[in-house]
Amino acid sequence: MLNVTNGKIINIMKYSIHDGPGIRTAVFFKGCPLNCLWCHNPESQKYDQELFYWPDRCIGCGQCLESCSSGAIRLTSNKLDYNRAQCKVCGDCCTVCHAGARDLVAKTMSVGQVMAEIEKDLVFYDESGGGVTFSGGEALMQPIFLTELLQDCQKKEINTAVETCGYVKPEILQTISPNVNLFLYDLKLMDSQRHQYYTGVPNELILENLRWLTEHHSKVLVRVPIIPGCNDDKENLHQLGEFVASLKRVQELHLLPYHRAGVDKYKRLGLEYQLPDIQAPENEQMERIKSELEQYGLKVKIGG
Amino acid sequence: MSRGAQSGYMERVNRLKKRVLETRPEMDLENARILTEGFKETEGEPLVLRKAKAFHKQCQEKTVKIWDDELIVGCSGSKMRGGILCADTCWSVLNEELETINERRYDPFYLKPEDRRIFEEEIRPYWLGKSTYEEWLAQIPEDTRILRDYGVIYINRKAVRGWGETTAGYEWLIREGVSGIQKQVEERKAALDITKPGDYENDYYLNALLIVSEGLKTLGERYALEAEKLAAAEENPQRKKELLEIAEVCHQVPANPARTFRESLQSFYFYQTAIFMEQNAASYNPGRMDQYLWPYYHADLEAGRLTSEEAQELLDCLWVKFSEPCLFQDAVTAEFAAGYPMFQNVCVGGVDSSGRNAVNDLSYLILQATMDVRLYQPSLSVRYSLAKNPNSFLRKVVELIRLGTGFPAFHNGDIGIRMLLNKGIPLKEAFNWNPCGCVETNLEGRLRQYTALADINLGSIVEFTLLDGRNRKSGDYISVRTGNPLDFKTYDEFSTAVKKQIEYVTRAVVKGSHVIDEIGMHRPVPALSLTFKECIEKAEDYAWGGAKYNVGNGIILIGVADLINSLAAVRHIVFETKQATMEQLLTALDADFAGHDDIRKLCLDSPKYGNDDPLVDDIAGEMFTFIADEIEKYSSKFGRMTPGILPVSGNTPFGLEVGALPSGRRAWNPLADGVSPSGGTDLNGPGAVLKSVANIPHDRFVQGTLLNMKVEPELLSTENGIIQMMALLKSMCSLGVFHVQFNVIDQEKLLQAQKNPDEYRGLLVRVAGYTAYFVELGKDVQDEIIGRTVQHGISAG
Repeated sequence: MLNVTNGKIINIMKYSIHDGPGIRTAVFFKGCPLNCLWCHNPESQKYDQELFYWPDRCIGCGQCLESCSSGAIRLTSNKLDYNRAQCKVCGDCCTVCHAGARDLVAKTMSVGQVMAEIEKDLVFYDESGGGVTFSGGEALMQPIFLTELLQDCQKKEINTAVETCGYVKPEILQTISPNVNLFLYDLKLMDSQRHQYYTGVPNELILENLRWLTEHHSKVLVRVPIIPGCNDDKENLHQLGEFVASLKRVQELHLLPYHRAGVDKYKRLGLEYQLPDIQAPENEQMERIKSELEQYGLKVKIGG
Repeated sequence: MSRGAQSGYMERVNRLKKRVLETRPEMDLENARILTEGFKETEGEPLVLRKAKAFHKQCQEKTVKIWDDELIVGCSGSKMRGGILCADTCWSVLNEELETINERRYDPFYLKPEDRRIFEEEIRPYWLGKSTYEEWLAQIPEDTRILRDYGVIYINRKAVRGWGETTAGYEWLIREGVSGIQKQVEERKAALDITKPGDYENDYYLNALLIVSEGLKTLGERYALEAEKLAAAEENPQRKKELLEIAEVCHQVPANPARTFRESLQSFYFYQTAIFMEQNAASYNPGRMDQYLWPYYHADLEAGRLTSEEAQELLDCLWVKFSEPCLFQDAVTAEFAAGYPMFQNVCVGGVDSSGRNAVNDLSYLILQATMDVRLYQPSLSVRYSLAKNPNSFLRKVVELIRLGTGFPAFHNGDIGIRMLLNKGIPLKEAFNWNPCGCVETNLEGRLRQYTALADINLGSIVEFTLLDGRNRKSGDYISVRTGNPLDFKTYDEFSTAVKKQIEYVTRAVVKGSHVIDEIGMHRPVPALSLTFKECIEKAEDYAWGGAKYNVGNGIILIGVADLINSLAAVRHIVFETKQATMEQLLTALDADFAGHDDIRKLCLDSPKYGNDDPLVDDIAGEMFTFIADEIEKYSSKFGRMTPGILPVSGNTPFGLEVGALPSGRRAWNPLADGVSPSGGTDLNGPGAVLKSVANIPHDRFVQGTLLNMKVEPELLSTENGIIQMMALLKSMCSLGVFHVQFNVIDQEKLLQAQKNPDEYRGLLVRVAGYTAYFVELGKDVQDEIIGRTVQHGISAG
């Protein structure tokens, strides 16, 4: 499944100011071992290629129908029907769609191609103290590709950050860690069963990896998404505060308020958004959570 | 909250501001009437003397009014929001619009019946056949005229209004007073010997300067008397006191040296109204006010005569005055620069004459004045020195950007210095440059030029290349024949044809420019020349080249991104990937892409300028080096011609003349503005825009380059957002980009983005702790953002 020199990338976002210090380039990897119900990048969950489809952009020109070799697109009662189950995700329909209704989620890129994009913004890293952040999905799911990128960045004096969910083999984390300047480590729920319910996996490995990392790496930020009704209860916050306080050298705890910016993407992927209709937390609520966690002696910040 | 909002002085400022906003712009013909009467009294005398005497008569006879509540006084005409007619330059412009000026779409002016009568009975009969504009219409070269008529160039601007585009010697005037300057004129005059050839002309020229000096002194004195008269009748003791202070100030300035900060402001403003009265024009630039007003401010503070809050109130009062006058220009010119744009460009920051940090307390007060007043004038610019200016200054600049007024125009100070060097000005003086009008470059009291004489439509250039010299709209062949594009075998052949078109059009503009230069010899401006030291030394008017430095006129390029993207698309589609043939492309363009959606998709998918993509950005570097070379090939009698890239609003009317382009732009739509990417084609964030834009050799476009970027105020609502914006501006300077101005995205624009997502594809917004592309969000999230985005807009007159 893995290729030494190529990786699967969803997007390379320039001028990212929420994923580590300064102006950064965020490289989003495809594929994640978790599937959190609140995920705002659902297109990053599967490793395999997927197709975004915006039915409301479709102008019904029929170009895709002609291009489709798998029979996934059909003309039924005057409208174009798209059957994902039959789709081979070859992308031919995307090439011909001039209404912009179809787009492949990921592209395969070489280390050299990704580095070329990263290096374009050197001047901004220099002026802002920024760099590159490898995110996803889960960057550690493509370990060899990631390692090569990290090594190349270090050679070129580009500051590196890796955002991880922590659900990875310890030896992978340990191998890449010397080439990472900063870890952004996501922590969601302290109760393993609840963790399993909301994210699809238990959390023991995640907590162990975090503990190891804070003992062996000098810069780790813990990031906690605050999802009302899922993980903002007193008990979870209490356990989380105690656990993080027990760790060595955690630089800061960042609270990321839930938002609905990704909801529309589920529709484009033909998926259901499974969380109920919850609202983004109010500022006052975020402030309250912040001060609760500060009681454990932690340095807490709202936002990335 | 801005500091001013908490302070008492804002009550007055808000009252003054409200009055300006509620006053409807009117034609003001008093100046033109007095000028006409003055000219009738001086038949047979040298032109410059007649101008000087008419100016003196205006100072003596014009209406002198002090509006209630104001502290800084003065007005070029008789009406608070008046548009002045420059009869000797362009009386006929009003003549052509007598029926429409009240209602015209861009910048209407109310013309009262009695003013219309004055115009028809007194002004028109006298000036018929005598104005600069009529001279221009009679002398415009034929090829220039044709290109103008088809919307390929715009070149009337300087014939329909006065000089402008200059920075007078305010510092000298404030320091010496009119009397001090007058003394120098007299000394110069005493050295003349009229038996020597040339000295007769020198003698009457210097006499003209003495006459305008007397006029200026009279003007101040009349305001002093008016203030005393009003004070005598005033019942409110507070206002009575203020009026007596105004009287004291006006007795002193502009006749004598300013002794206080307040006098320096008043002296400045009298002169500002006077040079505007002499010739109606946009862009009389106050320039580096934080530098030349600093000694007065500093001395007052040291002496305990003034608090910084009182200084702020005075500045704010002056800021309201800047928004009073309205530029009168013809309907077409107004379309190219809409919004009664006086372009009085004030500048803060930068370096001093030794190249050291020049930011001082007054720099901050001036930024605060724009934060307090938020009117459309003055145009506030920042000259930022990456190496020398402090972070606290840059932070204040970002705080002002966040307010969403569109100010300040942020300039890279070092590039400005290099532009002046390239204009032939020595470094010692280039350190002191100031922005002019929009983004052009000036030097206080020393430099003469038209910074933006003519505009060239680069969309037409692409069209001519594709149609072998034909204009699509009319079907007429009006440019040089560069061959049938179907015969082009390589991209190089295509790009060579583009260059030939540029050469042809540039040549026609240069010819026109020379004619304007010649006509300009007949429009001396003694009141303006008075503060150009070398005009006195040489006894030679500003109009004749008397300033210390003269350069060739500015030639402005419009449609930069359209040109670059069109070339890139032709190269990519036809010559490199061969996805379509030239014939298919031409057919699609001919049909404005109707029935050719596939070709349009290829055009839109071609590499686009603004994404830090070398596949297109190399064209930007190559083409604009060629264009700079091409323009600099020519000289006028005043010096080398000078290129610039600033559209004001000319990209819209130019766009109406251009059919579909290979960039994917549909026919008759606006072109891109300045050096900015085409709307909706920059998809990689602000850094990528700057990287692309940096491929243009900015310092060679010595009349400035203009970049507009969009910003959603929420992006600057956090400390992190502010810090990263500061870093972005610093990076811009490292990259050698000259200027950026931020259009704030308000509610209305977001609604537009929701409706026409294609034009806003690159628009970033902040969602909680996350930045996203607005058009990629679902409608409910979009609605939420629209709901939270309050109106930050600026009040335009």
